[in-house]
Amino acid sequence: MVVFVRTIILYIFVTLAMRLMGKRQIGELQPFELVVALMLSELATLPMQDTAIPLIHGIIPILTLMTLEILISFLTLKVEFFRKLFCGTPDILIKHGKVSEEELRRQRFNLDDLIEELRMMGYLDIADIEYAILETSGKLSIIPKAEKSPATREDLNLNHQSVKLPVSIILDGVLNKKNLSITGHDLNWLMENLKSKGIEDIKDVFIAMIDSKGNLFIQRRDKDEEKNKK
Amino acid sequence: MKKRIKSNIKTSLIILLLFSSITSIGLLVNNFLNNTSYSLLNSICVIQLNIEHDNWDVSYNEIMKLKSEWEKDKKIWSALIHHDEIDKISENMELLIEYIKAKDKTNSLSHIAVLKNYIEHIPELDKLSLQNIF
Repeated sequence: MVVFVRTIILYIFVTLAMRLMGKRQIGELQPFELVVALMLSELATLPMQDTAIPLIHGIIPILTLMTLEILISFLTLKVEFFRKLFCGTPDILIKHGKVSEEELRRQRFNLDDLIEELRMMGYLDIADIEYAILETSGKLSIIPKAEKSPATREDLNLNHQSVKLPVSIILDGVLNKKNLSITGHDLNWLMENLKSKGIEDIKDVFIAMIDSKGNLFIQRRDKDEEKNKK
Repeated sequence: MKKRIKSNIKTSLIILLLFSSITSIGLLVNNFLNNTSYSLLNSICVIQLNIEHDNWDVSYNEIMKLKSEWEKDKKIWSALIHHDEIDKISENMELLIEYIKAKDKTNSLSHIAVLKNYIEHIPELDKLSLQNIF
């Protein structure tokens, strides 16, 4: 039972810590963020299992790591010196279709890995690549030569409509009034549209949203589900 | 511009607040452990003197007072230090009570020495020193 309660407390604490550290923590990790993520998981599990360890011995290091992470993120955001120190700098592995031996050796990145990465990104020939940049997060960014890069609508002189942000209005039978007002429509407009699709009640709608083209997309709830909800 | 400065100040204040809370908690814990262990050690010294002078009744009363004091402190200590340390102290105290009851001078004094050592060791564990850091 003690372990159960401790687990709940530590889970909430670690989740809050991760949340406070910001969104970057869950996505692309910088070296210092990876260290924090690894340490956090280890620190939380020890007092979770061993009831002889006071909870504070888990909470204080997590709190300290969280503070350090916020401090380092702040410093790397504001001061270039710290950015270079903690995050490093991107390295150019291929320049104008030529692999940089020096950089590969420095990054301990072997040719097989490089060619594999290129293949995975859809580039078969090194000569087609203008730049291949090894980012600070460890990912490889490829900039193909102009003649090898995919054509855009602009290149082909095709008309294009600007894309709008999709906004959900009803999710699982629940109306989001705030989102409805963002779209510039009112409840009457929504009800009219629902009626035209043969829906009388908002609760019967599984999903209703304004899509990227500005059209209203409506999906009715399954008949069985409808009965259950009612 | 103003918004950016405001956000920078806010982040700096959060970092400062977090660091100061962590260090304050650390100092408070250290201070609490120092004070309580000092008080426990004082009581143990009184018991030791009484045992040395064969005042067994006084020693027994004093050890029972010490036990009730320890029971109170133990609750807070268990939130701050490893429970093995607390168990060792409790175990030794129980043995000491029995030796005092049996008026066994040699064993009582040896357990007093062990108990003193365990209690002295607690604030040492949490002290900010090079020895503890490395």
